Amino acid sequence: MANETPPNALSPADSTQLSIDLLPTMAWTATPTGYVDFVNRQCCVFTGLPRESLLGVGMVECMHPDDRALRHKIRTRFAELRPFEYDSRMRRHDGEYARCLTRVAPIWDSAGNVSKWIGTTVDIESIRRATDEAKLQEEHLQLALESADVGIWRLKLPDYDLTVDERTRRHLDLDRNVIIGYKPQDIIHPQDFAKSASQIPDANGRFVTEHRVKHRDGTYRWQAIHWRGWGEGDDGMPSLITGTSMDVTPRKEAEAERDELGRRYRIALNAAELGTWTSEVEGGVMHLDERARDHLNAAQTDVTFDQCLGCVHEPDRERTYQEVRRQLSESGLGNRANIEFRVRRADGELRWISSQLHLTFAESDNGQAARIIGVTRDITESKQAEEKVKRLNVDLERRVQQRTAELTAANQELESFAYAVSHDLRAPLRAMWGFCDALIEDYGHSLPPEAHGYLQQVIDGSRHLGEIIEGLLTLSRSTRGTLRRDSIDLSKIAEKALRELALVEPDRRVTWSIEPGLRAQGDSRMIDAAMRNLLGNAWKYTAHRPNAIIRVYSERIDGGSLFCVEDNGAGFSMEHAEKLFQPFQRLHRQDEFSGLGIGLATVERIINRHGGKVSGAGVPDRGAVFRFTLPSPNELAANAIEQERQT
Amino acid sequence: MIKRTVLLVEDNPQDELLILRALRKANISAAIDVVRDGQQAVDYLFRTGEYSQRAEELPSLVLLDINLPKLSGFDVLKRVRAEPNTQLLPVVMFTSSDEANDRLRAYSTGANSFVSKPLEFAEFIASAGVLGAYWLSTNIPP
Repeated sequence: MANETPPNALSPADSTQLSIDLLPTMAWTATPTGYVDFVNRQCCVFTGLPRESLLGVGMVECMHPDDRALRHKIRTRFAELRPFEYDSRMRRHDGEYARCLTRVAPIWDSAGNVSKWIGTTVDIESIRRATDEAKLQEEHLQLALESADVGIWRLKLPDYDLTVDERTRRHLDLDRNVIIGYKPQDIIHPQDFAKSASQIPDANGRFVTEHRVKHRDGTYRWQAIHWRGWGEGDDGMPSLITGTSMDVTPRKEAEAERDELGRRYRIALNAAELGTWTSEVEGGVMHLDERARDHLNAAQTDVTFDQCLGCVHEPDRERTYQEVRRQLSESGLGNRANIEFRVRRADGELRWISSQLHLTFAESDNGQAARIIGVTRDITESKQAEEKVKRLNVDLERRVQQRTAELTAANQELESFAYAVSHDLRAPLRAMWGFCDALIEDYGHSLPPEAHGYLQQVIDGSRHLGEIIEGLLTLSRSTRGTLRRDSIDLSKIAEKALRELALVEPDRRVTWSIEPGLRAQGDSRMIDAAMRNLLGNAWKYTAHRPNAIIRVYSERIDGGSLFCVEDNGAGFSMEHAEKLFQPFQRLHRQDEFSGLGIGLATVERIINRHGGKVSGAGVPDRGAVFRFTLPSPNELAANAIEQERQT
Repeated sequence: MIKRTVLLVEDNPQDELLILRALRKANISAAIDVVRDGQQAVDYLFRTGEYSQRAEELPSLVLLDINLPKLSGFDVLKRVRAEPNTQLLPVVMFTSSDEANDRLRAYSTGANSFVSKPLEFAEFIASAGVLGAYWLSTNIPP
């Protein structure tokens, strides 16, 4: 080797050398004796040495010192004139050694002699490393695909031959991994197909579609599909499309729900004309929506808390500020009262606005609110209505008080009048009666019978006047005092009253029927008196009937019961019905039926006092029926309150 | 026997005549002093005013109307019950009203009896007689 002249290694005319130079692995040529006469660029890159220093034995010099023993062996192999290979460690540009495989082959000339050797040296270390790296990356990729549940697929055009992995097969619910003549339109939801098909790929031939894919059970699942086209067929379509698939149904459903909630939320806000705002407690910037901005008449939708407070009508400002502070300092999420304040609008009008604060708390709850969500509302109309109602109430209250005072005064006057009547009318009456008595007793023996008769007339007149006075007093007493609310059994009262009447007049033949369980609420003393009056009348006016019948029953009417007392007695003509309930008015002569004419007046007063109504109907010689209502317990309570006020 | 006196307090002269007649008819023998309003009654009982010269002796019974000029029967009765001297004096109240309220008030103020003046005087004579006899004979005045 040493005695040969080195050839012109860099001759550009040598096409073999040129192509070797471009090889991505180390390559070199040697003379038939094994003298390296050319190294390619990769050799320089690998060793970090200039080309010149690698010629001759330069490459061998790069071998690991421990592999020097190989040199002899290599020389022997050259002599054998056959291809050979060897493993050696070669020093790299960074001083490290890499295991390299070198393959050497002879090049024969036409005469059958070796004209050159060509050798390649491959850094098997880096190849192995690259292989390992590729494997690792593949594993990572698989792991990523698996954990994200991303499937991969490829579609060969123009025949639409689809190959999918397990995950894509599952995503698209295909029954096998390879489908010849795949038709996406068969499984993509019709509403989504056009949109997906019209996607335009980006510069890298990629695009993404999201569409629903029909599963074999008829349900649709949302898929996000990434497409990447490769090559270009005759029709301008790519010849191959690869891509991924991902089931995004949960996300899509969540999005749909979110959209739906958002829609409802906006509709609700609009319907209620509510504005909203949010604010971080730190920083104090409030983000208003358009309606809240309008409510507060703020200049823009992002305002500081101070700016916002500045929108509040001045007299309300301090109170509003204190109220906000108080609510912020209260920990917990309890119900918060509306803060109400006025805002002056651009046109000068004052509007009432109410705002509510809802506090939300950070994860690291230290009792401090982190965020506020506010709701604003224009409450001017309801405020005005409230004011109006208040004014009306005050006015009503005043009028009620005035009326009550008038009524109380009138009542008191009536009371004292009745009292005076009972005293002052009785005294002279007593004198008339008393002195007539005295006259008869002391001087009766000297009076003629006619004079006795006249005196008796005076006494009878006095007695009658006394009864009238008594009647007046009874009437005025009948509804005196506080109205009690007792539970009353009208059936029982009627039974008792009729029994008592029968005891007084045992010879009367009276049949009575009483509907059981007639119940009402009211003042038992008064209702007892009213029932006795009605039954007493029924008893009295049936006196001439050989078969007197008295019935007590109820009739259903709207909102309660009508209580009825009916008899088959003398009755009365409806022509005179308006006189029925007037005191001292009688529809019968004294010689027909005795009486003062205060019974029904008493009944009416009692029923009216309870807030009920009484009416009478009669047919002469056939009988009469008296009906009355008593208010429901609720109405009675209201009456009682009213009367409480009067007293 | 101690001399007995009945004090009648009555403003109506007709009632007075009738009551006096009734007491007479009931054979009540006691002397009857008549005063015509509440103030006179008080003066009489406590020996003040026009009665300051009256003998010290108290009546055995007071018949007291309720409706009286100046002081009412209730006012008189209150004064009577407030004084230790007259605390136990028998007092019968009467009125022409038949008001339950009056009756209740009379007893709670300390009346020993209450009689309503009925229109028919025969009744009153009877009750006045019984009452007079009862209070005059069974009660030892203080």
